[in-house]
Amino acid sequence: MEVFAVTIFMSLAFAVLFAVLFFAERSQRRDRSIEQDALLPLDDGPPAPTRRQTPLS
Amino acid sequence: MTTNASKITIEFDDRTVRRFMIASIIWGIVGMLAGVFIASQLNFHQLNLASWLSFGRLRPLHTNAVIFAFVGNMMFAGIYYSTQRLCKARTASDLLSNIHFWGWQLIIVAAAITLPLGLTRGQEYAELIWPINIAVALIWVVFSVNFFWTLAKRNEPSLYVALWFYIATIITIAMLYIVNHLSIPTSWTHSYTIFAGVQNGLVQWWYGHNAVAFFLTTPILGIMYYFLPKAAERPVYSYRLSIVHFWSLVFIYIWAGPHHLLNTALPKWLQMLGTFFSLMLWAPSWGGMLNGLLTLRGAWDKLRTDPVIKFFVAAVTFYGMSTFEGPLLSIRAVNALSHYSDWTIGHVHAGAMGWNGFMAAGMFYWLTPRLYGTKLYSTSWANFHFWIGTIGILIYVAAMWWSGIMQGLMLNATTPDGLALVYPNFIDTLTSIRFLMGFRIIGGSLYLVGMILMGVNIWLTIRKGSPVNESREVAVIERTQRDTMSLKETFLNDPIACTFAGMLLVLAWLFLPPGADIAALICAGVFAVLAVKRFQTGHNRWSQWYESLLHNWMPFTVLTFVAVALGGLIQIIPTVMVNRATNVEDRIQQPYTPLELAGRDIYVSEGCYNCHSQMIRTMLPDVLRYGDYSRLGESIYDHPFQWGSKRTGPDLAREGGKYPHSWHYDHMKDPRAISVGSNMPAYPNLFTEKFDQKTLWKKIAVMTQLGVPYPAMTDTEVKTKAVEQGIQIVKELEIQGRSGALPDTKIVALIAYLQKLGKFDVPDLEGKLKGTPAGIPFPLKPGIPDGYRSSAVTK
Repeated sequence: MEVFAVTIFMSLAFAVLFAVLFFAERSQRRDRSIEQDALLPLDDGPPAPTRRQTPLS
Repeated sequence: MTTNASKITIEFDDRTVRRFMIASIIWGIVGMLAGVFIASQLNFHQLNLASWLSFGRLRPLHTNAVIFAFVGNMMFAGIYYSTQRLCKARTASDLLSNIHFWGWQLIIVAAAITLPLGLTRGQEYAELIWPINIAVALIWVVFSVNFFWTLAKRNEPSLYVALWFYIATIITIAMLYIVNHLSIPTSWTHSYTIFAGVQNGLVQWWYGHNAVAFFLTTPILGIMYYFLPKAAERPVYSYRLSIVHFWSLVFIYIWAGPHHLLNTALPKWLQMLGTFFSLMLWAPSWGGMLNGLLTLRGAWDKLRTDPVIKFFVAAVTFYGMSTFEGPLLSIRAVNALSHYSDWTIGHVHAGAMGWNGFMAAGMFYWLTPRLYGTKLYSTSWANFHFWIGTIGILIYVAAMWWSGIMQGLMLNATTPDGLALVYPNFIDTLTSIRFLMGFRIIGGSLYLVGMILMGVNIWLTIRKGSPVNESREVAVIERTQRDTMSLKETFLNDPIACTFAGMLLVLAWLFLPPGADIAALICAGVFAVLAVKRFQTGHNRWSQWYESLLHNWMPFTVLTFVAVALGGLIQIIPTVMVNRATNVEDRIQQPYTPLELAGRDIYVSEGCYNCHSQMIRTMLPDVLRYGDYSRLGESIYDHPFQWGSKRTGPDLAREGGKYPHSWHYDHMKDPRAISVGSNMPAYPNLFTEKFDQKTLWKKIAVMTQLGVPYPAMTDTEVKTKAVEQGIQIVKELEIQGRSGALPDTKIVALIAYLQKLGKFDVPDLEGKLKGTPAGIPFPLKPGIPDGYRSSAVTK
């Protein structure tokens, strides 16, 4: 029977731990993470109103 | 460019990107064609059709074409494309871009003309003659100005990781190229490097190894960090990991050069540093590889359909394999087997064809549709290119592993008592790997077919579409959002203080005498714990500092320069002492006579160093095969040094006096008449062409300026001495039954040089300068101790 007690205890402990970590993370005000810079290559921005085609000269 | 409040529309300069891309493909095919041709010459000596088509002259053409023309142009295409997008700004100057492009192509053409003519500096990957060196430096400055100017006018505050790698490339290549090419000209097409012997060896491999690091690796990593996320449509796996990857890579790489000189006359402490830092390179290299591969998380399905992803994944995997193999080959015991063998050639080609070539292919297949506003002509051709290229690399690399290990084992094999060689005849070891050289042709040809197919595919795509310059609307950022960091903010902070103090303590551990070194190591340990604690309490400050650094290109560049310059300074400055100290060991080279010097220039010009070393390592098999191990003092007057990096033929360090003149005479005329099974080219041109007497006096004058102890001689005296020695050799040849040789021909000068190899005097080290000719550059102080030398095997 101890196995149920241990399982329930461990599950609850993990659940509480995750909840605590989640809210701790949420409560930290962060405007920006350095990881955001990883998005720079994907930031294509809006295309110009008309795409110009120029001949190869 | 149109302006609208704080937003502007910019049109990127994609014409320059297109030009560099096309140039890269064309030169790539030319360079690889030369590669297949010289691989064939190794098996079929008859293909040495003329002096300008001989292996020794074409091999530098192949390496320079692939490195500087193929990868160089590819790198510039990638840098120009991604820098504009990452800076949200058009390249600063179209004029500079034009000068850069046309200047670089002119340099390549000049190299393609001069190298087959035998005009060379005689150092690997640094063969180009001095006027071209100056042109390279100038064009590099043009490129640098254009790049940094673009950074200065960017509309994105933060510098993305790709740009860090480009910065490291630009400043490090400038530093390496300038230092390694310092020479004194003797004519418009010839010069002598200011370094000699071990000093030259160290500087050359500091350059040579880091040409791989900062020309073939860092810019391509920058390209990986930009184009792989674009192709996978997801951000790089970990930006934090890329920070660790960048700084550890640029700091560690620069120290690893001496691993090219293991078991040679290079002092022990430098060999150890080379091995130590090479092993450390495993970590950042694999960090970068994993960061690249894990970027594909959730996008692995694209591997089945998208040739771009296929090429990128295979390229990054080859990068991982090569950077695993590199440190392995830097371990002394492994190096004793692999060095001078085909194993190194296989390693280099896994990197060049797998990492560089496939990154180039992936990038070109991704770029072409975007640069020409159309779909790729044929995806199935691109897929075929991938498979034929991969098979080609695998055949090539596997054959070279097999060949290198087999020949290495045969050359190093001794009888159980250790007193004799199992295979004393070098030719036997060469014969046993001939069939593997055939696989090298097959693998290289398959790869070349893939390259040609890519060229055709891209050409047909270009014909289908029309050139497109991308335009984009970007927000103009305030000047205060970037480039405001002061020098004080850059240097006076915890991360910098901790890094420098830590490095000082580690250096103290490496260089202090026994006892003090242990104290320094303990201090370093304690300091590391304190630094970690300081980081834990103030990590926000550390992060903020690094973020501000990323918003400031100049401080970032300065710190990168410090990181790469340190290794060079610590390794090279003490070596200047070594060459001029009593570390000539117990022997000092005899200076060359004018005729021998002329012969040496012919040896360099014909590229003999591509197949023959002049360095007997401190290893029993080397000593048994070639004679007593080479001392530091025995190449002290060699500008440039000719230690070599590959033995397709035997070592020549003690060739002098081994055979009569007639042997060399016959051998140069027809190598196979002397050594059955030899793959050496015949040199009929040497028997008719005259050696250069006109500039001989100037050459002696430059050598004297560099510290070689020649007595004062007039132009006439120099010529007379040369001709007199030539007449003497001709007489001796006649006695040996070889009539008809003329004293002013190249063959006579070359024989004079070959017969001088290994000739030395025993210096009077106790009496120091007593009795030494004026100008002899030793000794300043007893040198740095070298443990390997005292325990080395002597005959």
